[in-house]
Amino acid sequence: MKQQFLYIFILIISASFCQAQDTLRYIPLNSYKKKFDVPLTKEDSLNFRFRDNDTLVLVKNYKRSKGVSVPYEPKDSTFLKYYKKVAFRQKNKFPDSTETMKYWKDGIKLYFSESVSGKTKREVMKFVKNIDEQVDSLRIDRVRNIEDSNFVIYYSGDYEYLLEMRNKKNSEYYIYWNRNSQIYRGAIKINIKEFFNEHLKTERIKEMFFLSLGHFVQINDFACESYFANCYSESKHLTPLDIELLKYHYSYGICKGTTREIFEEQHRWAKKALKEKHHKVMFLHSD
Amino acid sequence: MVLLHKSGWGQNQYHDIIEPRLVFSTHKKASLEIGGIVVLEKDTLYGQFNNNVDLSYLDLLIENEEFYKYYRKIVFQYSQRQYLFQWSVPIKVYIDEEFPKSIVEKFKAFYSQIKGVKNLNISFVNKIKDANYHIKLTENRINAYGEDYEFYSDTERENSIYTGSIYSLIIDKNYKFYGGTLQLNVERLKDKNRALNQLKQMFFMSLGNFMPDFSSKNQNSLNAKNYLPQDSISESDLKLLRVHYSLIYEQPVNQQAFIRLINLRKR
Repeated sequence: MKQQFLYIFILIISASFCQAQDTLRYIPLNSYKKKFDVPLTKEDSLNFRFRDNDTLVLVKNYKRSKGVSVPYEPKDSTFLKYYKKVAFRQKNKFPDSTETMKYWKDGIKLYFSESVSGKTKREVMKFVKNIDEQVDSLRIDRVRNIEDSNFVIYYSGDYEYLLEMRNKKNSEYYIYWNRNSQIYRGAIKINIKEFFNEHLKTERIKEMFFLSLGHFVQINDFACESYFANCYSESKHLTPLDIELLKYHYSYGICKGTTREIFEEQHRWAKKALKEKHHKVMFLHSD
Repeated sequence: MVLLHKSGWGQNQYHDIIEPRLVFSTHKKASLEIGGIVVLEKDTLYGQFNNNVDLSYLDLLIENEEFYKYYRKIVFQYSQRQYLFQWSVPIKVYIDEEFPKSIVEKFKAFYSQIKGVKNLNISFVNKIKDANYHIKLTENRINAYGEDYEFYSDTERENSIYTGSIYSLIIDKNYKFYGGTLQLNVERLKDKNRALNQLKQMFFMSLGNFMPDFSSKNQNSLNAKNYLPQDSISESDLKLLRVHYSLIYEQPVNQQAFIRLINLRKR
């Protein structure tokens, strides 16, 4: 498990109870025994509480870790099926359970090379700002100096901003991420021989930028209007489902940077807790 | 995901071969089938698809064995796994001003005849900004064959449509084209008729990345090595385009899948 985003579960007996006793934390007896290797005292037993068939133990001197605690965001199975495909890059029927989801932790600072026309810049920024406004915890700005940027958009024939793309002939994006699957640098390079006019360039940049937000894989389930669809459309736009998937990717109601396997395990656990115990599950995100 | 299909067995089987792509919207359209439902916090999105697929165009192939063989040969190029290519958008052609007017006018007149081919729309635009297909001249030495390709004679090399011209197409992961460039070496303009025919033939091939049929005796076909220049497009070439563009396939279709479609239509 990644240390960067330590996720803990906090079982809240009921919302009202918890709000009333903000500093008290109860956990099931079984969990207590696993977590604390000390025998229970008489005092502990006096503080027992009972709910359903569980005995709950008061955690003494509970200190909440620093960070932001966000409630688990449940989603339906169809939504999660699509999300897992795009975020964990499922390319065939046999998903790679070790593939991690990638995301931008810090804001994206976009720099356009000088050869990108004003019209293309405006069109791209309109698209980008729409995403920036709709998706919480994803901040995207344009910068005028390359030194201030962490994302460059440029054309073939320009200065090669990214050595890794020097020999690339296709129009692609390239991103770097750290061991926590946090993306920290990226670039898009467009081959202007292929994408010969402003419209073709602009649409390609928008598509590549969108995919670079999570190293998403495009799938064949959606009509081509969707940015998550693996086919071109002249009427490509951010569909309601595109927005929802992207919002979910950047929502802190799930753990970030996890593998598909961990993601599924967390969902199983959180859904079970919600359904069987009516426990509210919180994800704590701490740096 | 819950897949709900109409009870009609034929169309169900079509979607077993070509999986539908879903359009998710809060509004249900009565004319479309529901293929999946996503329940969000505030809204419900219905994933819908068109279940009215008409495969009658395949009868042209089923009823004519020779044409069927020819179609499979030039589209699938003898491979079961080769995918069929189509343009999924209207083709808007811009021809560089450097081309002689006589060539441009004849080329436009020729391809303006392709009308009434469903899903294939070719038009000519005056500004490159409005185009997705660029026909241009180049001084670069270009050939559509490799360095080691051998011709029987220099004359054959000189007259080959692959000498001094090449096309490249932008393709998505669904094997659909949405942009292209056709280049002609400026030296080829020394013989204007040859240049015109070269452009006509190369452009035709780029409509489906069709493999040229070197053994064809049909000199009316733009796909034939020994094409005899004509002012109008032949009926056989139009028939090929009609079959090829009757349906824009939502998923990649290789020869195996195509044969399954044929068999489905035969039932």
